[in-house]
Amino acid sequence: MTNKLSVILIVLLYSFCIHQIAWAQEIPKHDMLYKKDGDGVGCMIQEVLDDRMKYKLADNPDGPVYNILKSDVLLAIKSDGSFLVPANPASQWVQACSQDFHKIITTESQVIPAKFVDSSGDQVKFQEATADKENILGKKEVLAIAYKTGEISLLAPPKEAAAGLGKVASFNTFSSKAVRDQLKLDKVDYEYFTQLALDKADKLGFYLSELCNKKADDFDKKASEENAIKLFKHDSTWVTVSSLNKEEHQRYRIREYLRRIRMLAYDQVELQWRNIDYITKLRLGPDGNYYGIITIQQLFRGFIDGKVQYQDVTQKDIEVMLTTYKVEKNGKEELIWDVFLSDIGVQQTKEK
Amino acid sequence: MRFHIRFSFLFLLILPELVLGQIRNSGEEENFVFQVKQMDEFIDRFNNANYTPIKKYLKEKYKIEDVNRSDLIKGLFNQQDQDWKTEEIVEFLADVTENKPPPYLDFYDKGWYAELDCAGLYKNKKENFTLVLSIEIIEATGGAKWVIEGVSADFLKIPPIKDYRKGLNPASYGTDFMGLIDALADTANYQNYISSDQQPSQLLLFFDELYEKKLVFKQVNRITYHFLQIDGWAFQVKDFNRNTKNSGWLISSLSQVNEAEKKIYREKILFLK
Repeated sequence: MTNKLSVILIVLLYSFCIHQIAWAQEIPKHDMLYKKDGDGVGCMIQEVLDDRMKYKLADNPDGPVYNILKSDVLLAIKSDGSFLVPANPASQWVQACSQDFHKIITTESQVIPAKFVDSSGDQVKFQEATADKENILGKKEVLAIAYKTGEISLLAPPKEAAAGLGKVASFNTFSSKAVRDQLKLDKVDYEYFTQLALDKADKLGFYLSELCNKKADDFDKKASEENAIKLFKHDSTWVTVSSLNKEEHQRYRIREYLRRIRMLAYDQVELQWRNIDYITKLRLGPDGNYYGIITIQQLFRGFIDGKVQYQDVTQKDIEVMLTTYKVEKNGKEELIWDVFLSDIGVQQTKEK
Repeated sequence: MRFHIRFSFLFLLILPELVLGQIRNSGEEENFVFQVKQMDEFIDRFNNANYTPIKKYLKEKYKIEDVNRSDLIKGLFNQQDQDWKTEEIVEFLADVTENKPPPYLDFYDKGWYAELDCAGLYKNKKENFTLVLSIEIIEATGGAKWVIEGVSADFLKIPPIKDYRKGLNPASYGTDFMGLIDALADTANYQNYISSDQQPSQLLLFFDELYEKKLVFKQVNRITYHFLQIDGWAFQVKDFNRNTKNSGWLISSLSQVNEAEKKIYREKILFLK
């Protein structure tokens, strides 16, 4: 029994030592050059010239200075964690990770900030900076881990790692995996939400023209107003209004704006939105929602006694927000992503 | 050679009208397509991104499959300005299209700024002031936000120091800094008691006045974007509101500047430290 226990202890001690050795190899305390032939050289980089690099061997710091063509070096990593892809002439040193978070660089060249990371097993376990629970990536999905202490550990062969790291311009520009997972904003979703945003802008244009319609009855107008409000996330949304006769823009909350549209002092109003097909990229804001802008043209004509009294063409910028709201499904609360219209600005007003 | 470059450039300047605008019956809708409607679109056209509305339109309406980046960037200059230095534009185009790899603009780049001419009320009087904003990435989420980096307002004056000799003397520690009693009452010379790294700025004054409700923000009148992230160059982009194809957010000025000059540009034009 004692013998068995000793064997187990020896095996455990041995595995621990092996693990420590492997770890030490992954995170060197000196500079590293990974050459095209696959060799890694522990060194102290002396100088980086236009065409070559100069270095001394880490185990012979008083020895000679060696030269190597940059085109023969896949990846150079300094002991402080900054790295360079020398074979790429445009590559510049990417500074080491900030001290706030570790950074996991995936095979898709995405940089995920993590509070904690453990790559000792078959997988990379981590807690993302913004998440409460642990997350897991397969080791094949990870190129490298940049620890907040400065070191970089490669999990992929140097050639693959260099190709991926070459696309990382900064450790501070990264994707949030938690947000991506939550939203699953892949190409199909992105196109769906951008089209949905354009559809909602189109609907708003329709409701506005209905509100202006002097022949429509009050019941229909009220319905149009309520339907228009539903297109917005909240009724504290601002709408900016411009006029050819005034330099100063006016701002109204959406309900007040809709009321004013309904009450316009013309016998007849023509209001048409057109060119509703341009939307900027949706970008993640500070509150976890995505934001973009739709730019449209509004044609406005006001008639009195059958004659045009005022007309203009206005370019309007509508902020769109991709956000979540809670719904109850089978007794459970679920978060649903949807696009809403938000503040409406005015860019240009021209005489028609 | 010089003639050749000039000839090529002149030809190419016309080319956008020939290629992008074999288009006689322009009309308002077509102008809207050509107009650079947002800075996003400006950046996409500068980078010759695949999905710009103009490329889609040219392909669908005129069967033009391929527009080169140089032509697209030329279309981003305000072509109604007669004072462009042709050689400078040629050099700029070569730098941004022929360098390996060519420089591209990224919305999240550092080094581009929005300068906002604003109107407000200061002590109930109409006043104009300038805000300079830039994009900041939030490390914890990967999201981004615009942040105010600088303010310039004639009505926000930092009072000059009256007596440069005033300050907490080196022996102040010996009296447990009793000198602070007089120092903090000496408001005419308060800069003397503050670290030279932390001198008062118009930005702080601006927020003080907002907080005190003496200043009320009204509206943004005009915006100029400053792009300083391309090596050796700085350019400004403004909105040209006109019913032509060459309209919207366009390059209004271009300067060849080195890093030292960019530092001065940031300090003098953008009021940044």
